[in-house]
Amino acid sequence: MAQLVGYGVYIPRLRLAAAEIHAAWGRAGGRGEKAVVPPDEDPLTMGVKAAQAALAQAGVEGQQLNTVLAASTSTGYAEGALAAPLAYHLGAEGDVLVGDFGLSARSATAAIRAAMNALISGRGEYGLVVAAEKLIAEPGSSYELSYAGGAGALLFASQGQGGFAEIVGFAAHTSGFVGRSRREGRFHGLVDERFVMQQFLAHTQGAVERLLDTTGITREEVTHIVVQAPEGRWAARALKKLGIPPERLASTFPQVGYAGSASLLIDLAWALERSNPGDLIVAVSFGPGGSDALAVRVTKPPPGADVEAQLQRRERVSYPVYLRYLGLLGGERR
Amino acid sequence: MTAPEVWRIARENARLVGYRCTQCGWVAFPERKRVCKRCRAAPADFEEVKLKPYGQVLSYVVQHRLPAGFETPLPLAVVELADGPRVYGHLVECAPEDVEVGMEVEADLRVMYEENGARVYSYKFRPRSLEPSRGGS
Ligand SMILES: [Zn+2]
Repeated sequence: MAQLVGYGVYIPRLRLAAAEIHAAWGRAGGRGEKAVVPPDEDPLTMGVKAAQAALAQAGVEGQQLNTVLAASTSTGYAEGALAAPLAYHLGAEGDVLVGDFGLSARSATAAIRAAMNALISGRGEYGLVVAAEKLIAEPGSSYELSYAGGAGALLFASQGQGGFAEIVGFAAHTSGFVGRSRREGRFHGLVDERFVMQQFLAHTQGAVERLLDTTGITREEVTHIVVQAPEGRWAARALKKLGIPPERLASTFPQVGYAGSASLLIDLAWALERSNPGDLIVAVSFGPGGSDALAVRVTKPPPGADVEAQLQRRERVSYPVYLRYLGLLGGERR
Repeated sequence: MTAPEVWRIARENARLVGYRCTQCGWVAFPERKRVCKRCRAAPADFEEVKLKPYGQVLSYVVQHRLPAGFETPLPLAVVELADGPRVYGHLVECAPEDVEVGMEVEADLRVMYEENGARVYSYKFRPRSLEPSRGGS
């Protein structure tokens, strides 16, 4: 199977406290904060930075990439590629397979699977997967508490290139369930969240159980688990349902919030940064259409990264400035 | 679409590619020149170089009066890149009162403006972090 040779993240340093959002809407309380994407950053700029971190970590040049796959649901374009300009900024052009994955927050795992397939089928030595998001929630809605932005990247190499971890299993749990969705140029429509959560639990459980069944991995062997959950409390519920102890959860949700497809790669990077040889990381995505679960076996000490440093590197923004940065306050600045 | 004048220097801009005079080592950026500005070789023989994405603030101004769409006060600096070329750029993630001549900065890819529905990207500068994995290669 494909080897993992690099990982990187980009977490915007601006943060908005949940308590600030609550206060603005006349509500009490609120815990944690979320990463705020500044007005001059988007999935491309963030994706390039996460990818550069992964390449630098592995000592691989952009020109060496044979495959570049990008996942995002929030580029803001109905047409306008992400993977190709990303590859181009990194120095890869010409005979480079690119692919854009979107329309579901689940799509980061589809991009990982596709990159693995490309390597297994002999398409060159290096494949890069990037997920980057700039989610914008309707002010006052419950989604506003968590919708955030950021990017993560994984660099894969074909067998024989070395590497510190490998993907040892992959399972899908696909259905026709959509849940949260968004029309072009609109905010996400509000749906029955209790029902979405039930479906989230069913799909994540379905994917992880299939992964364990097909690989023979036991629950006890899982040292870290990443659960891509759009709400803070959902991941813990998923673990309870799976019978995996809560302390195994690797989640940046309290600092970053929910960054859609990017959350899976950011949390996976955070788990890798703190992992040791022999560890087994399970990551499960969720979005319209279901879930995918993958198992990563750490074989050597993962090279150092700056995930924790980026989580710590933070500057608070106020609620009105946040609204202005996302273009939600209205009017031209004077 | 990518406007012709944007596309013309897109490669240099996106990847910080410059052109080094093989006679004297002067680096042209972002456009390849015919004549070397330093040794006057004409036509000069230029080789492509991947510029290091960092440098020093040579001078700066803080802009207070700008049209709508800009955040003010906005520090703008002339940065001398480590390979020699001097470029003009916005400083980000840095309060205007903290800018200093000689400050180490690194290039940071940002959205510059939007034109005909497409975002145009280039580099701004921010205080250089010493974390190894940042700032590209
Ligand atoms: Zn010269």
